[in-house]
Amino acid sequence: MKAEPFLAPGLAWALVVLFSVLWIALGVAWGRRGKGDADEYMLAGRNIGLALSTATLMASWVTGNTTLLAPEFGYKTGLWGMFSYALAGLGLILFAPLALRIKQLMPHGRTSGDFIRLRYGRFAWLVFMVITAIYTLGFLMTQAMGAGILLQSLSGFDYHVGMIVVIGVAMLYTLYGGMRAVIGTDFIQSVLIMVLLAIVAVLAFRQFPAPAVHARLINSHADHLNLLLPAGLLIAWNSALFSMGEVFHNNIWWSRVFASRRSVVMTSFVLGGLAWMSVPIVTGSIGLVALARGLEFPQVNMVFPVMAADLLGVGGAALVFVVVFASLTSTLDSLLASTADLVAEDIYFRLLRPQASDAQLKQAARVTVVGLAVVTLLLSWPRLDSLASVLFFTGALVASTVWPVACGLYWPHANRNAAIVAMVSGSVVGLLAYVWIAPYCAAVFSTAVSALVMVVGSVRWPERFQWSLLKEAP
Amino acid sequence: MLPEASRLVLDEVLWSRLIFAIGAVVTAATIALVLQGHFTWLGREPFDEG
Repeated sequence: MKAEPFLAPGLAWALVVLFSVLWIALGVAWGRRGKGDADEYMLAGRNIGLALSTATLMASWVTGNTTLLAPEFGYKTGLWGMFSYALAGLGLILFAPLALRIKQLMPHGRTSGDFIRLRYGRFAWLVFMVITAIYTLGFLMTQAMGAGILLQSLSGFDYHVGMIVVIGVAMLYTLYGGMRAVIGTDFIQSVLIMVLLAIVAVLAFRQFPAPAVHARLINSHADHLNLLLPAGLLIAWNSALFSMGEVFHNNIWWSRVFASRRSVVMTSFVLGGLAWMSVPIVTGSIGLVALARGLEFPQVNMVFPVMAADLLGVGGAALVFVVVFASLTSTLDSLLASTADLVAEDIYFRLLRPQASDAQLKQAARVTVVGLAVVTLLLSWPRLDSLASVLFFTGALVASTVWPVACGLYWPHANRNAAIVAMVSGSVVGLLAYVWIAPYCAAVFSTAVSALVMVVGSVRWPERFQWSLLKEAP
Repeated sequence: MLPEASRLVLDEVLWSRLIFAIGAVVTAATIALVLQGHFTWLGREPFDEG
């Protein structure tokens, strides 16, 4: 099946302009609220309630990958692909208890880098920053490429134009409104995503009922309904462990912890994770419908948009367009804001200019937002065919941080050298598994090795950490 | 004796199940680590050195 634009360029541009103006106007308006200091800009005044906190977690975790990759998984590997992608919600849910502990231990904390530096020292911080830098750039690239691919497949926009529009919009409202704008727009975006996905799913299954899909798959692709499919088994736990690595280490989620009220932080992560799980189930099932209909795609990551447009006509294309536009901007704004916080706090303030004023710190964060957007554009300029190849590569790295982070929060005897060796050895073994076995199992091997190193190192050479050291003044 | 192609498929299945088992054990251990840590500190003073 040849991918052709299903949405008239005029309608697509109208949607882009409408939502771009809305996001930017709201972002600028919300950014004017509050005290205007660095904490306000970076962490929305540390006073976010349950509804906003849950919505921002869900919206940030619904990425371009969720709407483009989950259907690809369903299409290529069947039920296991779909369900294993949904297991990525475990990352948010399992982080909930850790979030509560972080909130208690670090009342003045700003970033995940703060924690690693105070808990394990400068060298561990350096290793951690390298891992998070590679992951963040990979994540930004997949979102940027997803933006270009989506707008091109749906409306015939030039790949680069689509990418520039989405990154530009997210950058503008993040730049002017900071974390408050990010969280506010995330709330609207999460509601949009949930409602529109429900509409797409209901309309799709009314035209092509589940029993018919099942009957066709039994005849043509019975292996895709087999829960013991080898390729499916390989990715089953990888998604769960990969997502834990992403959430446990990345400042997107740590910044939400610091921004939320202590009383709501744990509940919001559980609710956000559960709400998120419904999204890959819905989009993944669309991939199964495509398979049942015997459709073939020149680029498998276009399964969802092309299917929706094919099944539901112009309305379906417009709905998917809005869903993915909201998904991409809500993730990109979070990435830009939280990574800017990390660079401004950990590198500019803690490393380069400890004497910097509050206003200078805020300015550094704003400059970094722009710089990151430019770097993302440059790195994403050459288009890759499958977003999965970029994504799974970073899984080998981030999964190695799961045990060092969790042990560092709960175990006073967690050894700092063990944490360093765990992150390095886990990353190396994960990358070897990525190359030699399959990209799908990189996170499994990475977590396994880092867990082993962390446990053995901390039991054999226990340390005595004073938790009060984490109460570092801002 | 199995034909060559059948043995390869069998190896692939066994290899997949081994990775699946490792993944299940690691995931379960990680969940246990977090839950045990959470319940250990639940109700205690967060900076308790004891």
